[in-house]
Amino acid sequence: MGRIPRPVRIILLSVVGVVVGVLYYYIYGYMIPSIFSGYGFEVNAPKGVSVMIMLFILLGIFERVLPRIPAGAVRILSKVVGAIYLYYITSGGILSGEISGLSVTIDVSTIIYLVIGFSLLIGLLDAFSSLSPEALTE
Amino acid sequence: MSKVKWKGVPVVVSSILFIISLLVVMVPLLVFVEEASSNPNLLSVSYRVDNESIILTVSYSGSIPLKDVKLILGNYSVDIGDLSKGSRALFRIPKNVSMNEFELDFNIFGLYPVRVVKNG
Repeated sequence: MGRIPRPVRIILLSVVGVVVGVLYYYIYGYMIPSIFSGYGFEVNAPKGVSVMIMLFILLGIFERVLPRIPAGAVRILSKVVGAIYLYYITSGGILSGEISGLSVTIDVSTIIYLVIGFSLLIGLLDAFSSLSPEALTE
Repeated sequence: MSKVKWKGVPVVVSSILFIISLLVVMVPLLVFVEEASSNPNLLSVSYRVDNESIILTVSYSGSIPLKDVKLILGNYSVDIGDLSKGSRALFRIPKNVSMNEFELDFNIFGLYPVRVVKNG
């Protein structure tokens, strides 16, 4: 069976990177905040939406087309960017809103820190697993 | 003979632990929010006035325990304590305490501090 030519492989990986980047933005920048805003809590409107989408897409592409060591670093960086973005949009997990004429403030930082912590942990484990001696000699 | 590849196991295990932890942590909050959405009197504070004082009645009918419930009326605060399903507590407070504005603080399942404020 013939191998896929390198330029085609890069293009295919880049397409995957674009899709994953858009997905990351959707999850961190839209889906999770929407859960809270759906219940009447204000979330920070993300500034520079197009910049954030481009950043996630670029990280998604680099993660897939770069050699292993820089790709591993980008993998961790993309998790850090997602975590910081989520922290900013949810104001660190402190959500406020007007519900039935009452001012309600709820601290959901437990959830935010859990998402951030595990995102970073999984990112680190994923990056280090790709740097195993087995992977480096492939 | 093929070698078993273990390098992805830590990521898979961490991902599973993450999902389980998230579910454990989020379920109490989601249940409380759902119950509060469908029943505005889930945690209710009512009062009546007699000759000497104001009698506050605090009642809670939700499934998720609330911890450190506190009611603040101007300069006067009432430590209500922990509430579980079916809890009902009565408190006497001085008659001169204004009931127009209040602040109600509590903690959902010990994980999520909440503050509810009503301004007059």
